[in-house]
Amino acid sequence: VSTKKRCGTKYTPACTTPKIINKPVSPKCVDVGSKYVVPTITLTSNSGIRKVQVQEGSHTLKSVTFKGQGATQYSIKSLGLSTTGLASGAHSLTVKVTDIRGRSASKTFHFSICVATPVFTG
Amino acid sequence: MGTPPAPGGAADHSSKGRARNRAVLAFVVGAVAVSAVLGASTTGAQAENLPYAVTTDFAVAQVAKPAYVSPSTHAKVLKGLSFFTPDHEALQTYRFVKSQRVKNVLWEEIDVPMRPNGQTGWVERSWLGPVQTVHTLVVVDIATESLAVYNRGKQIFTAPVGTGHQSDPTWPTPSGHYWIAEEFPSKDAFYGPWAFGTTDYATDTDFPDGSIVGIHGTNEPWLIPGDPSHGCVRLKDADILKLKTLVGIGTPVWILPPTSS
Repeated sequence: VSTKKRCGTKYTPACTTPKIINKPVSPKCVDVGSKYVVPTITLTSNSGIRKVQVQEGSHTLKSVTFKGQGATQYSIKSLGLSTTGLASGAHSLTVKVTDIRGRSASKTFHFSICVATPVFTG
Repeated sequence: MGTPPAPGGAADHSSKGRARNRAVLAFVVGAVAVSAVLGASTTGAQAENLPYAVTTDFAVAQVAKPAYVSPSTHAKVLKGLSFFTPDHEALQTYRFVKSQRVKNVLWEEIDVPMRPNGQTGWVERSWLGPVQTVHTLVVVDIATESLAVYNRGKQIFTAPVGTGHQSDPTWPTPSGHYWIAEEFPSKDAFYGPWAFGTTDYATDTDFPDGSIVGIHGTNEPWLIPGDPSHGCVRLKDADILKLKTLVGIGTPVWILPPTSS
């Protein structure tokens, strides 16, 4: 395993804060009892990713820790969340990435559990 | 959203030169509502003379930031960006109008669903999520009590509709440019099997969840076509189920005003 630093030296670019990029989020509500699929999320860090965490409230959906120099890119694909037991209305989940230098970034994704009967003017 | 643009209005200012729901249409209230559309979109369909060829870009909010009346954080706040529609039935979508770069920051003018209808605000591009695009368009013609769906300018569906009481100032279907903000299977027979919520706010403010104009089925199909509703657009159940397969959140909804003839 190479111990060469990827950034922040005389011969490498400056280290930057990790970045979180996501595919478009479906605005449509999700029926309770079905599965909400998190849009593909790509995490990058030019110094190396140490840890990735996805949380819905206090519940951890996914947690990945990288050893050594970590990864410069990591994608979360097809991560599903069971909506059984979730109340109708607004919900969110948060993705947090921390690099090997301790810098972190987070992003919150919102989704909606379908309301039984919304009211229009009719 | 809001009042249909004046002749020659709503130019395409997209930084990419794409038509962003601007269809650049001129509405003239005339004897024949459909033929009242004078303009054309700025897409390639313009050359084909397809006035309902519309490309719409929209996105959801990523952060809790305000929409300003002009592209500056020092400008007056119009309204805060919402993550959800008023009834929490979907993520709130915002339709792009035009872009402008100010001091190296990309700003977007967006349609903001709120009362009164037809308001736009400015947000930094980074406050919104990835762009989503649709090529469909719903046109509701109050004068002929009909609804048509267009895909890239070509009509793919028509159906009779029931709209609001135009003679009653409390319950008209407000005309203007809106879009579908939510969709869901209905468990209430009054709405039929499927319902769409739009960004059109009804004149009557007494209904819960913001008094939103919906497009939905009905348990009174014999009232269609006609003007039986309190502002909503009602379709027969078979038609709303067909519409469900053709359009979705983000699809623009143009409600043409009743003609004066």
